[in-house]
Order: sequence, then structure tokens, then C-alpha cells
Amino acid sequence: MKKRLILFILCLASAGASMQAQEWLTLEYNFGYGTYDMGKLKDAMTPNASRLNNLKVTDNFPGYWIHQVKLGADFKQMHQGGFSVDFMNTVGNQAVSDYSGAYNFTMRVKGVRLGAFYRITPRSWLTKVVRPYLQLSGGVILNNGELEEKLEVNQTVMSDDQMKLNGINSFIEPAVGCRFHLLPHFDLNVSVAYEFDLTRKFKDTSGRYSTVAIYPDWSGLRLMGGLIYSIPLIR
Amino acid sequence: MKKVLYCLFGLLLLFGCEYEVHENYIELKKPADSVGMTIQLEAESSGDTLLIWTDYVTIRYNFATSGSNAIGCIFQLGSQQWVMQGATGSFDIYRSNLGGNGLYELTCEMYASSGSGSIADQLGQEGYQGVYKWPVKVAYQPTEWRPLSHTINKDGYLELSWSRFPFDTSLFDRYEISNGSWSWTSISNINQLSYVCKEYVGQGVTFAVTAHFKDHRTPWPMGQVTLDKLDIEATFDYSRADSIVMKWSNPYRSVITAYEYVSGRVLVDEASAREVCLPYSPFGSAYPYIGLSVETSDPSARGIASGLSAQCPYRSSCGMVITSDGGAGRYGYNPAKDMLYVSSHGEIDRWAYPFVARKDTYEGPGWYVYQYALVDKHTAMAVYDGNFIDLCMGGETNKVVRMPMHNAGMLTGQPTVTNNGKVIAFTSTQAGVMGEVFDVQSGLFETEFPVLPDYPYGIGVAMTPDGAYLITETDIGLSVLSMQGYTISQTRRWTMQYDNWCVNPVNSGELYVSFDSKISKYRTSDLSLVASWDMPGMRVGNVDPKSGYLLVHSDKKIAVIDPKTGRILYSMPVDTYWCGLYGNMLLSVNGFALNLEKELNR
Repeated sequence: MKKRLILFILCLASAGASMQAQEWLTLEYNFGYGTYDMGKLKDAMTPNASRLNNLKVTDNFPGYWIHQVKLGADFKQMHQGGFSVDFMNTVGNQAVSDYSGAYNFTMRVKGVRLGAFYRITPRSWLTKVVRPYLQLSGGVILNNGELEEKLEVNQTVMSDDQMKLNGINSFIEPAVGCRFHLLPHFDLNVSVAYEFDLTRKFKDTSGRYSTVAIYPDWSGLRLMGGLIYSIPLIR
Repeated sequence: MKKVLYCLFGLLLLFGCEYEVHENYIELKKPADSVGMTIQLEAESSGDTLLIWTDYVTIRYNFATSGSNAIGCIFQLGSQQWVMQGATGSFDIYRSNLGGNGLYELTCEMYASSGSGSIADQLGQEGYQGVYKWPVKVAYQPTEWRPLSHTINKDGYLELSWSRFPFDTSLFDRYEISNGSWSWTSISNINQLSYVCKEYVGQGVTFAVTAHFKDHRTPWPMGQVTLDKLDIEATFDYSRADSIVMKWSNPYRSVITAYEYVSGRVLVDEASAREVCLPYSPFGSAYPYIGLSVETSDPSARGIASGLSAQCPYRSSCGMVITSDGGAGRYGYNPAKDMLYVSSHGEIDRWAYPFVARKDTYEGPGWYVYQYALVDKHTAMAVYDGNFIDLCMGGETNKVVRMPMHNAGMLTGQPTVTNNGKVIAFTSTQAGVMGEVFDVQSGLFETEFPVLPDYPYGIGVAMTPDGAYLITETDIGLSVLSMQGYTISQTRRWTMQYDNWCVNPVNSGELYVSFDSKISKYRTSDLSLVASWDMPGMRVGNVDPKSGYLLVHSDKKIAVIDPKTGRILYSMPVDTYWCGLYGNMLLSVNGFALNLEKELNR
């Protein structure tokens, strides 16, 4: 997965090299918090050892931090476009433990979102420090799920079942944000967005969920903030 | 630029990439190190020892703990294992899965949960273990009977004994002793290990002892013994004149009953002594077998067919048997040598008085003796054998002179050897009864003479030894023919009825006739009555050539009379239709001889 991400960034870099010199190449990192729907996965959290006393859902696919890297270009000052890579993950977990052992039923879901974005800033704000913008993003999410059910008694692993799930979602995400031009090449960036997953897919190769449809739904609110580094293109 | 990148990686490291799951740790109190555990088994046992002696047994267990929860038990017996869940349960042990009879050990590993509610507790991984062991005694019910000990106790009864039941005797309530035929006995005293059988006196029987259980399961075979039927071994001693001494053997306490086999007359009734005296039957009785019945001495112990019986040959008549094969005898007496010749078939036995033992036996070539004629002075014996007369000179069979009969025909009447050394034999011919005369010395035929030409067949005829009279017996009566040489000089016919008659062989002038309860003595010469005695039911037998006494008899009684006085010298009961008295020896038709020397000489 990491190899794919590096290749994608290199492609964007080569494309940016062909742009006009009076325009800017932007490299952007955002960090934020996102919430996730994950309704189907919550339904699928049915551990085999559900009869254990004190078994409790400790984590039910909560919202979590998001890392986002964007590579784009400003052209005609008010327009900005490019590609983005997001990393999201969340966990569903039911567990109990005591002095004698522990039981965990954990479904960890990761999503690498590959998308393209378009951002427009009103012309009248282009020369100001605060530059609001509207943004629309779209693309795909490479889903990766890991399910593990583990029972350990008296320091002996009694059972440890693991399975993996894969799939691809598509999404669209409108956002509103604001750049704060503080230094000649650096902007601060904040945005609020909401992601809508248009298609959702998980492929269960183990057959455990052959009778029910499960898939991650990354739909949710995105609160992001980060830095934008602008590089002037030379003619 | 590098600084910016470093900051980005720093942020990534700061916040991390993956969500960290939360724990749900429950604080629980750890259970105690040990708890008390008890287990009880419900199975057949003897004390602490479990018993297995049927095809299978069901073991029920009840497992209890103090302060914890019973999980289950693992039982182990030999190579078999039973994993039982729960505090109670049952399992079956099949004896066929065990190696055989013997002692085993049943091990039980008990498991109890801690009850702490921990994960290990909930999964049965946390608890307590205890071990208990029981000895197990396996004794299969034997497929074959074990031998049953038996002996004769001091009282003479059969005593059966068996080993103690291998398990707890409280499991059964009685022993049963069966003998396979007449009865069975139940013993409710379970500590009794022997049984005295008063019914047994030697019968062929199989005794079996079984232990019967309170729950009516298949009885346990304690032992079996098969006793062969004992033969009643009886010996008879005839040396005593007044009774027969019978000795019999039987190792058991018993009594014997002896009876005449044909008549059923009881001779001895339930005698316990092993030596008993049997009364003689009347002389001449033809009961060659005695029936013996052995019973237990205790009448209350007698069951159906419990007795032992046998049939033994014996001699019931008084006197002694003098025919070699015990058959009917034909007798010839030589008063000069006081010798009796007896034959029953193809032999001649010679007995010298007073008949202690058989002197010898002649077995002539093809002899089947019809008649004897004993030469008085020359001690020769004439034997009529078919168409020949063999003269055994001097009583020896190696000096035999064979004389062919002159006339072809059947021998009839009584042969006679006259005092002058002639053998007179009579044959029935077409010309009538002929008398043939042979010389004893030479054995040659000398002459013949007619006896009764008008009665050729079926007459009785005899000549007196002195040759003076010829007595004939036809359907017209008794005729006395006076002889001169071999010529009939005078004929007198007896016109009165008669039963039997005889001529005194020593004095041919005396003729004895019996009829109508009288015994009469006549003069042979003129048939004049000399004397007459009332003797109801008696008929004339013969006059003993030695003593001259007259024997009269019926089928049930004999009497010896002095013909001179008519006094009855001796009488006794008999059981024979013919008797003879020769040399004071009483003879019966069936070969018995009884010496009356003492009785007649009193």
C-alpha cells in the first residue's frame, strides 16, 4: 500500500512540472478528525464467545484522526486543484479480561482515500491574509479490514482466529475552508467537510459473513487543519 | 523544506496512525487454593471394594464440593475411561472389556470450578482437582461348574460343601441344592457352607449348588458334582442250614430291603446291618433272583425314586444246586458206590455223598442224556443217547461201549439194569413196545421181547431190577406183568384209579400207589393191599434204594415214610412238582439237593 502511495505522489510531481511558471505548486498536509458511519460493521460485531460474562463493547468504530496529504497547483490565483491521499482508521472491539485471561473480538478497518480535489477562492479575498474557499473532492477508498478473535486463559492462547477483508468505496466530499497566508510560501489551512460514500464494498474471503452484507462506510464529518507549502513555478 | 518534512513525520509519530483499542478489565477476587471434595458411588460393593461379576454394572456417582461448583469426573479403570460432566451421573462397566477376574483399581479425577466468575472459571479452566481410588474386584460368573466337595460324614450321610461366596453374602438370600431328578433344597442360612443329604444312598445323581440373589438375577453356581450310581454288592453265604447270610456293602447310612424278585415276597425289611439273614424259600423253589432295595435309614428323608435297587442272582431254595448249569436235572443213583449222577443237558456230573463238592463231570461226544441206568454190581452206567446206549464201564467215560438200538424207534419208559448185568431198554415200534436186552459186560445185544403188542405208543414201562416184574402204564390202567426170563408169564391189570406209583427197587414185591388222599402198599405179585395211610394231597414219589424209605410229596410238601410202619419220619415244605429221594438225598426237579441224613436218622 505504501508503494502505491509513493508512486502516486511521484506522478503528481511530474505533472506539476509541466505547469506554467507563474503559477504555484502546492504541497499540503492536513491533520484532522473524522467521524464514520460503519453501521454494517457494527451489526457484524457478533463474537463467538458472547456468553462470557462482563463482555463489553469497548470501541464501536469511533471517529479518529485523519492524515491527509495533498499535491496540487494554483492557477489563475483563484483556482486550485490536485490530488489527495487520506489515511483513516477505526476499530470495533468487544473485550473482557481479568486475572485469568482475556478475550478480544476486534475488527480494525483502515481506509486509504485516493482522490482529486478542486478548490476555488473568491477573487476579492486573494490578496488578503484570510482566503476562504470552497472545495469539492472525489475518488476512491481502498478498504482494508482485519478481524481477530482471541482467547487467552492462564497465559495460554486458547484460540486465535484472524481474517482479512478488502474492498473499494467511492466517495464525494464537499468542504469549506480557509487559508491563512502568513508567510511568503506557507499558508495555514482549516476546513470543514462531509464525506459521502457513494459505493461501499468489503470482500470476505473467509466466508464468515457470507450471509450478511458488511462493508465500511466512511461517511462522516471531517474537521481538518494543516499547512500549505507553495512553490512558485519557474518559467 | 527538510524541516517541514521532519515536522510532518513528527506529527505522524505524535498522534500515531492506528486507533488503540480499549481494555475491559474486570477486577475479581482470586479463589482459594483448595476446597473440599467428596464423591460417593452407588454400585455393588463389599466394603470399599466395588464388585463386578455380571455382564456389566452401572456405576452412579454423586460428586459434592464445599464452596465450589462440581464440573465433572474422569473415571479410569484399566484402559477404559469415562469422562463425565456434572455433579451426578452414571456409566457402565462391561466386564468383557476387562482382562479377566482379579483385582483392579478404579480411579476418579474430580474437577470443580472455582466459582470466581473469571474467564477461566467460565471456560472450565479454573478449578480444583481431586483423586479418589477404589479397589475393584472382578469375578466373572463361571461358565463351568466348579467341583463340589463331598464326603461321608460321621453319621454316614453324604455331606456336600462349597466355598464361601466370593462377594458380600448380603447380596443373596439363599442357596439351592438340586440333584437334577427328585428334589431340591433351599438353605436360607447364607453362612452355611455345607449340606447333609440324608436322601442319598448311592444313586447316580448330579448335585448342584447355586446361590440365589435377592434381586432375582441369574443364580451364581457354587459347585457341582456328579456321583456315579453305586452298585449294590451283595454276597450270599449258603453254609448255614437255617438261613442265607447276605452281606452287602454301602458306604452311606442306609437300610436294605430284600425280596424274592418274582413273587415279591419280602425276605428282609429295611435292615440297617450290613450282614443280614435271609430265610430260605421252600426246597426246590425256582426263584433265581433276589430284589434288593436300598433306602436312607431316615424314612422322613425319603423322596421320590430316591432309593437304589438291584436284582442279584441267588439261590433261594435250601439245599445245594447240583446241576452244572442250574437247569432241570435228571438223576441216576448207584447205591453200591453211593454215587449220584446228574445231567441237565450234554453233561453228566458225578457227586459222591455227602455232596460236599462235585466229583467230576463227564462230557461225552454229543451226549444229550435222556435216561440213566446204573449197573449195580458192575458199576457201569448206561446212557441213552438217541439211538444208542453208551455204557460207561466203571463209571469212567473213557471206557464207553456203544450199543446201537436194535429196533428203530423212540425210546420209551424207564431203562433198567438188572441185577444179573443186563440192560433192558424199551422202544416204541410198529409192532408195539419192544424190550431190548444188552449184556453189560460185552455190550452186545442179546435178545428182544414184546411188552404190550396192543399198545405200541405212549406207555410208561419199567422193569424191576430183579427182572421179576414189568410194570406198564397205559390209558387202560396199570398192568403188572410177571416175567419168566424175558417172557411174560402172567398179566395183572390194575382196575382202580391211581395218581402215581412206584416199585421198591430193593424189594420188587412191594408196589406203592397213591390215590384219593391215600398212600397204599400192595404186593406186586397179586396186587393185594398190604397197608394204607391217609395222606391228603400226597402222591407216591420213590423208595430210596439205600434206606428203603418211601418218599411221598405234593407240590408244596414232602414226607418220608417208613414203609414198614407207615410212620412219617420227616416232612418239610417244598416248592417243586417232582421230588426224589436217593441215598437220603432229597432231589428236586430243578437241580436242588438236600441231605436228609440227619433228619431221617434221628
